[in-house]
Amino acid sequence: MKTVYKFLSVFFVLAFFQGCEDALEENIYSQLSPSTLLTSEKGVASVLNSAYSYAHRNDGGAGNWSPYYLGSSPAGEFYGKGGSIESLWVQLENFSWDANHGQIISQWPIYYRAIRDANVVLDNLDPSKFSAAFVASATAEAKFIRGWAYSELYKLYGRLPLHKSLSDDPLQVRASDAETRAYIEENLLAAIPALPDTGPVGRATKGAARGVLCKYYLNTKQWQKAADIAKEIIDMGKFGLETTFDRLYSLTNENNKEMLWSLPKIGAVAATANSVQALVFPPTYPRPYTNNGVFAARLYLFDAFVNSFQDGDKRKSLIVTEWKLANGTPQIGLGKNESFPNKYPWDPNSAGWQSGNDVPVIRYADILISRAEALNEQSGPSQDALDLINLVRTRAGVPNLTLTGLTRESLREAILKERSWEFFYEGKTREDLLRHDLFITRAVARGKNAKPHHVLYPIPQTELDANKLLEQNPGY
Amino acid sequence: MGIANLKKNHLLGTLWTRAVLIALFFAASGWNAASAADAFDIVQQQQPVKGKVLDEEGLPLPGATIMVVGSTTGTSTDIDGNFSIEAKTGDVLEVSFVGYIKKLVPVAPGANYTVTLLPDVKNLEEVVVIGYGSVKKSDLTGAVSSLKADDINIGANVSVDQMMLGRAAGVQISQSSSEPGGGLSIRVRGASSINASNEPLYVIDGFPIDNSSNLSASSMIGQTDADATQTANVAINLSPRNPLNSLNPNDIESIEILKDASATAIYGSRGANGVVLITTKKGKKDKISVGYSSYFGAQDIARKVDVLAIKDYTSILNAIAKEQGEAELFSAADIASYGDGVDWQKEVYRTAPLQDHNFSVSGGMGKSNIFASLNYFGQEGIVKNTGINKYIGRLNFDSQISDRIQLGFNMNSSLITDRNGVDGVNTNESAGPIYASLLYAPNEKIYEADGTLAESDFLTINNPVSLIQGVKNTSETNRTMANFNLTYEMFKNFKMKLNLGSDRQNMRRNVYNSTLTRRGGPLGGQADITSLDRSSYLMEYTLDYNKEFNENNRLSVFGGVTYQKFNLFLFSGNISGFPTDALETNNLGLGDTNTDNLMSRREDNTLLSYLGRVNYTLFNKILLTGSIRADGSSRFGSDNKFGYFPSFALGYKLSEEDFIPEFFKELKLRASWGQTGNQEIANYASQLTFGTGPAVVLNGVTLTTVQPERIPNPGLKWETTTQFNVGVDASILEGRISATVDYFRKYTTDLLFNLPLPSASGYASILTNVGAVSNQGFELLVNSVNISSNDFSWNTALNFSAIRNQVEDLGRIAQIVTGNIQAVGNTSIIRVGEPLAAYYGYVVDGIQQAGSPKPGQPNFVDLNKDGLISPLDQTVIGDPFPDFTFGINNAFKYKNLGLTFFIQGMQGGELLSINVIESMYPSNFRRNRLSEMALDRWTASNTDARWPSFANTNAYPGGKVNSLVLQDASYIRLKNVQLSYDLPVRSIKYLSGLKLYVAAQNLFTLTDYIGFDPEANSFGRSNVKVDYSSYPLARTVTFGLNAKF
Repeated sequence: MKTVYKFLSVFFVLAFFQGCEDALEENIYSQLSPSTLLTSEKGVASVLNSAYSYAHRNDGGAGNWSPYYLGSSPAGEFYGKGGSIESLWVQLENFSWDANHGQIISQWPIYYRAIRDANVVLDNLDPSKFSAAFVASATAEAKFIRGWAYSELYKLYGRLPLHKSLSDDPLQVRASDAETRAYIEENLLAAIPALPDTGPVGRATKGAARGVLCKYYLNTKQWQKAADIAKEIIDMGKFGLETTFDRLYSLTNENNKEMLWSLPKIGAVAATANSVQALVFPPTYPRPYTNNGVFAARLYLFDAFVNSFQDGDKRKSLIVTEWKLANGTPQIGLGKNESFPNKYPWDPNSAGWQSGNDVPVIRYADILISRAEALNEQSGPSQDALDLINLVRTRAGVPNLTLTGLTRESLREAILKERSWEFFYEGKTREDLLRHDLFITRAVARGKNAKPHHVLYPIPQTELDANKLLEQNPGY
Repeated sequence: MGIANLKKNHLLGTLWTRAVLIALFFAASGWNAASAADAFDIVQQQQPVKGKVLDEEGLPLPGATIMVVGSTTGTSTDIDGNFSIEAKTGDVLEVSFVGYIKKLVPVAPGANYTVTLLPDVKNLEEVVVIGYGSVKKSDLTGAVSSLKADDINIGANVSVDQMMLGRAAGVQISQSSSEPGGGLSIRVRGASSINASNEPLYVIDGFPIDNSSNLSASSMIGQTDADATQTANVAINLSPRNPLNSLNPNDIESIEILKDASATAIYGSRGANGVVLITTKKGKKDKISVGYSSYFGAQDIARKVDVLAIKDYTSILNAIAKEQGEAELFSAADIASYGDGVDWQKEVYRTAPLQDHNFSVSGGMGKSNIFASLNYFGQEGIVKNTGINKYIGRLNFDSQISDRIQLGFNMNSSLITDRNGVDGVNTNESAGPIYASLLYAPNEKIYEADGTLAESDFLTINNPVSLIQGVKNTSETNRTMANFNLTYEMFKNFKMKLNLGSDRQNMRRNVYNSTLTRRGGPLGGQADITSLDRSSYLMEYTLDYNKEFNENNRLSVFGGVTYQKFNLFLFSGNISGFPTDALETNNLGLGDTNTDNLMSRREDNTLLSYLGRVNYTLFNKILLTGSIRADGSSRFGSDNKFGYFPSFALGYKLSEEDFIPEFFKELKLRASWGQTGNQEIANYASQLTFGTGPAVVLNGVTLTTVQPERIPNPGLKWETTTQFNVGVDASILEGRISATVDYFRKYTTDLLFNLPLPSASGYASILTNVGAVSNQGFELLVNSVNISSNDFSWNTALNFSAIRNQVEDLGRIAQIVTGNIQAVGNTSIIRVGEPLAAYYGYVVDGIQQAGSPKPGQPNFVDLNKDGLISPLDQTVIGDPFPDFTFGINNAFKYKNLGLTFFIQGMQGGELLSINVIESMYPSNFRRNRLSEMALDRWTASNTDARWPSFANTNAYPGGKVNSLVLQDASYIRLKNVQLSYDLPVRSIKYLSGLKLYVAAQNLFTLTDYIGFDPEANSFGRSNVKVDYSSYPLARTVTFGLNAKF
């Protein structure tokens, strides 16, 4: 009998352990499952917010600041010195970048994450679960984000692997140039109708979508389409030029009528911060607020550019050509190619290098000049085109352009000059020169070892390593 | 048979049948024994017999057992060795004591019952602890390195794993950070996993503990740089805190390192990286012995890395500036004004004390034994503002509460307080004092005239002194491990054992970056508190059957079921913008709430396992072992919760054969094959979940976001390592010389591998079972008693191992470039055919000489001959694994004087020093340079220089990771020297032993490596190895005493 009890005890213990079997199911406490998250509008909206965050290049690092340099350094707009970032800048300035360049590779994942999150939203907008209004607005916002992200990627890398849904195979080939273009246009066009005309900074609006589309048409030399959509924007009557540059870039006037699409930033945490001053001014530069901080690197404008402004051009006041050390010792930058772009005011609420200056991407001034450029490319100089440019020049306090003696070529040159004065340190010179096939020739003229393939940046090497289906851009 | 059943039954899919089968299997084996064991006869006794039991030295032996043969009458001796038992003339008394030869004493009138027992030399044969049991060393069939306390407890041992360093063949232990309390990286027989952990499983007194990284000094619990985020803008210190800090090295009885699959397969899914079994001391005999030991010592930096002093600094920088076509930086007047300049390293390093006090009580009363200890260990770090204090208590209790029931209880409780260094893999303003003191210019001031800390106008590095004074990084860890076990001999030869364990630790880290620093200043101070609670619970039920059928057939069968659950709670909060630095992290509420950041996390995971093992010994010559473990883990996909890990081993004691000459005292051949697994991955990897995304600013406010975490992989399963091992154990000259040789081949498949995805998919990688890595190697252990006479003895122990590691397969991926360092880029590559995380970069074949296009510039090799230096010219430039490692211990004893010295080292293998890269490619021209490089730079008059001219280094082609900066990390180190003296204390009452010693550690290291330590790894436990301002190794001299009462 005793023996039986002993055996029973063995069975009892084993049975007890068997009860633990259910414990092998995973308990998830701190993360959300699709069924808890994607069944409410609030849940889907929180993923849309993540898409926005990546679309705003919120990574507190290279993803955020690289577009300034990728868009300007190789075009000879400025140069940088100091800090470990210098070697990256030198490569951009000297056309010696490669597929491992830290700033080049920073842009690819950040935009594709925006696309991923937009795809999560679009894949899960089940009309039977959500209100029609929510489905319509979320669809439009997600498509805008996708269109914006693909258009930026296209500008940097050329034709792209197109990820249209989360269920797509993670390994995609690069679509053809035509497919890529069609997809960008399709997304932005589809977004426009359901978006509001204007809205808070950083949100998709008709203005933002048309603005992005306008620049996309312009950069792909679809002049008529660019001119037409610029006209649509102008006719909306919702946008205009700010009266002064102080107000244009002011931290207290960030959602002004000139901003069609800007990326909102707050300096309190790194993820949402900008670093526009931290990478410009040296540590010895007196900073207005004790909470302002800078990095080791500095950014300098060339004397030739500083001296190219016409007399009285108010835009030149946004350049520091001379300054004083804290102890009063004067420092002269002009004459040594060491003037600083000072477009963005110091943020009284910055956290060290982290400032809250929004990143202006598409300004109304750009739309005006873009339409002028498109009209000129389409049908040569016209008073219509000049009137648009002159709106911008008037604000800058410089005399109007007149038609006399203008040819398509000379107006093109005038527009490029105008753009350089209006948009310096906004990351646009590369695309401006690319549109007119001047990017390489001008670099060669500056003595750089620029080759035809440099019109596109290389696909990041890690991307090629991870996906054998991808081809590198020629020349890399 | 058991194995077959287990397998078949899982196919049936019901666990119930599986459990029943295990039970039946054991029940069947135990059946015969049952009836015999129940039938005890009772015999009446007639007269009291009184006597005394003595040991070989004539001292009373308490606790010896006296039985009347053929009856159940028995007693044991008291504290004075006396006994009294009822017996009748003609009875025979059996006097026995564990470890002694038993004696039979006939009861006869007038007989002398003072019995002297002699030690049983045969029984004293070394016993080796193995998984869920122990075996005589001669019966061992697996590859096990066994270390005894006496061999290893020399000098200052900060942690238990440090005691093993260099002492076991095939076990590479790297002190990845020499910071007090810093974690070690241990590789048993190479690195077999790319993304899952490569650290072994630790089992302390039968309780497998959770040895996951604690909060690192940067409050991270992740293992990879990908998880790294800065805490309070302090550098990311990737070195984990050592989870074994909570053990007291003085408590260790033995450490066994299980290496081959035969030894480790019983731990199944946690066995692939080897298993370290730690056995703590138990109370012995019926003698109470009290011990006190203590040491005091001083530490100093073992290897200085010199940087340019003011004179060389100014002249060399001026010269380079000139070569760059720039104006000289320092005028003669400037140079005169600097005086002697500042030696920043002197401001950061110090001579630091350490001390240890250990008090222990060991002994027993009746059938119960107890061991208790209390330990205090205090170590200041050689970097100012670092150090550790440990307070550890242990209680081990075991009792034979009846003939059949035995229970044991072990408890270890510890409190550890740390002050941590803040150096890591970050640069510039985010880096720590070690980094800053290497780079800060000697012409800069420490303090302004008004006494405030000076800040350089030119360097965006913190004044090193501001980091020492301005950053506080402290932690407090409580850990209590307890286990309780009950063994019940259900039938003769058949035991069941219940083992319950609990391991709870909580750790809180406080980091405050004050306004004295460049990052803390603009932020108004930044505070971060992170709190981690980790716990695990174990329930284990095992059955054990041993039967010696006859002298030629011995069987033991073991099996059971075990359940372990692991919990994790993490909470962190940080905030900046304080009105004052005064309160540090003690009142986060004072910060600016616009800057706050909160995070919390909870996870748990579970292991449920069934295990079995059979040992069969035939003719006392042939040893057969088979084992299997069926492991279920919550971490894997729903289809693959269970993995099966079998092993087989064969041992052949050749020395028992007549044809083997007597010359061999022991000669045994061993062969084993088996499979083990690895489940050390993050939780939830098989599921699609959504977690916190990056913050976004919309409508003027910062909003949280939610993003998908991964592409789900419901098929995720175990990583499996198949290991084959052959070995020989031999000893000759009556055991004077013994050797163990092993060859192994480990092949790991279905790697838990973060298969890179194109980031266009929105994800960096997917955790998949893809790829293979192999490790093969050769291990040798030799022990030799060179001289053994009455007054003088000399013993030598040598271990040697050579391991080859190779990536065999990566699925659809050809290579992964990895190991990113800010401003340097990737350092390493995972590529088929190469060792794991081989160094990857450009080849430099020399310095361009006069007449070349760029004299003084390193000559980068155009490997693909396309006329360009491009990424296509990168190749594997080095191997992070050594060709071989070795350790030699020599112990001399002359009368009461002892001298031991221990040398260890490694040969071959490279290490990338980021500090060397910094010196060659300074982020800021005014940064200081390493003397060894700057003083041997190429100039027109120093053309056979090792280093380039350093002029315009930003324009050098190629990359910063190149063969010029990669260094050979071979070294030979005098790790330990100890001189000891045993005082003759026999005449002193109450004192039974007193040893005095002086010991030194890391006295010298022979190496060509430029850096603090060729063993360092700033990536902590990662396979990717770089040395970036790693905490310098300390040279330690200690004076100590061990007293026994």
